[in-house]
Amino acid sequence: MAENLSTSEFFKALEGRGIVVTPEDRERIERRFNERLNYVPKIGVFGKTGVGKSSLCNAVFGQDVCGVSDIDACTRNPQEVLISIGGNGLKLVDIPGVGESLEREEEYEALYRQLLPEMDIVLWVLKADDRAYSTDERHYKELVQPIIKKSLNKQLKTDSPFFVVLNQVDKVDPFREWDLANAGPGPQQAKNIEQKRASVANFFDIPLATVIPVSADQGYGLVSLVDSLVFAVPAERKHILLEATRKERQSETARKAAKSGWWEGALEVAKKVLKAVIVPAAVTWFKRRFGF
Amino acid sequence: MHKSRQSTVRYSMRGFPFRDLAQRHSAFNRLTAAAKSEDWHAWEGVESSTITYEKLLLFIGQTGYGKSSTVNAIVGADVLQTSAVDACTRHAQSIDFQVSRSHWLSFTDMPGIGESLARDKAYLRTYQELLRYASVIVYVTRADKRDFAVDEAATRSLFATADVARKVVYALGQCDKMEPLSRSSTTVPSRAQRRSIDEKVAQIAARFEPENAVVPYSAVTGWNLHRLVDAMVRVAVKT
Repeated sequence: MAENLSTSEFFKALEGRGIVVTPEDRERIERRFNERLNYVPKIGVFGKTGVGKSSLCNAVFGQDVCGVSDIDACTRNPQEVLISIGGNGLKLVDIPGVGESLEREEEYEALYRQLLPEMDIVLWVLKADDRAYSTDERHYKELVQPIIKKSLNKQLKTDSPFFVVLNQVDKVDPFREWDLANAGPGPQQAKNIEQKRASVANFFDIPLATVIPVSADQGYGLVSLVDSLVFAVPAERKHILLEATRKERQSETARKAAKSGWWEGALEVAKKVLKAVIVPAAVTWFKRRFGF
Repeated sequence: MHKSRQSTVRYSMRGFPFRDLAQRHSAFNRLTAAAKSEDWHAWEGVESSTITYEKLLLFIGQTGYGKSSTVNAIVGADVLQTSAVDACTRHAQSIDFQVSRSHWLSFTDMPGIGESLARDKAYLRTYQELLRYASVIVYVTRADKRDFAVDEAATRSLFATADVARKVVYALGQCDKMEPLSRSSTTVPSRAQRRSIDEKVAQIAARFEPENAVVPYSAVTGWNLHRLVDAMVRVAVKT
């Protein structure tokens, strides 16, 4: 945990506002803090084989997910569609292709039903220079979307825990236009990427802002992606989520939001434990001090 | 003409005769010699009683994988519309070359599958109808991907019979996008790319068990395009 998010600063601040916290209450507050800090953000990463789920996770979270190969599929055994990585709660779900039996489909539905409600965020990874999305359509519209609509939005009280990550945008035609020096698309490429975003948003029936163009290989768009993730989760989870990402992907804005979100959550805990004896003046002070 | 061919948008290459095509790819000359054989598909004219003979080269595969671009690259002109973003081939399109007075060579470009479930059903049915008229079925897929499940399902159902399977040429496009990617505008793949391409060809061969060669190429750079043409013509004169 970052130094500026220490509980002692929190109690000092409370005392400064004339609020005396008994040792018992202090212990209870600290225990609840720790429970929150031990929370593991769960991020579901869905996508067809070869769209770059592993590379994306490596680039964003710095986890060596599995040997990323240009040739072989990472998950060879169709039974092992789920890979759990370390203690970080990252889950990669490989979408199988077409032509599987209905029985398999039921298996997937059961798997999704079990997995999705636990997720803080679901990322659906597509390859930007592909437009054969029928496999994605079938899995998303028939199996995933109904569950997300029912449970995820309600549980998280947020509109957009679901993002489509348009990966490998550096390979959108004309791909030789990609600006290697500045790690960004060329003019015609940029236009095609924007068009692609719009058509994907339309296809998935989601807001344009939730279709995020990135190139995990080229390190493009990843800061914006992390920004979007941080803003999508509830205030008290922003900090934990940001901590799970690589330092170089964290923007100043995201850091600020994470910090104020953490204090906001801390104050909520204190309010509950101290049975609302925190005077309004203290709340105002916290809000001004930490910007929420 | 057969009813399933009526919805095809046809481009007759006026001012671009067959001999120009044969000059670009000398392999096509073998068709002139083959015009005397009886292995051409005979179409009865609707109005007159004339008979035309056709060798149909049918291009099928997933949307956006370069069917139209491949035909354009072979023909050497941007006749068929292509797009970097959206599916644009909604109907069958055909470019016809007159090989001799009554013999025609048609490049027929089909709408791609894999875009949406509803469209796939209709497109696959159209594919199925046209397969028997085709001399060569060019199944276009791309080298720079790992997920071949859609291809596998489609080819398994379409090419189930032996007389269809022997007409299929697997065209493995977009080799210029193979990893490790090079953005310099060389037309030939690097040595490292070559290794990835060779491995991919071997994988496809093992997985799809094709009767004919699996040809890696790039429509954009033109790399190995002549080998694709060779493979097509070899099947065309056999049928």
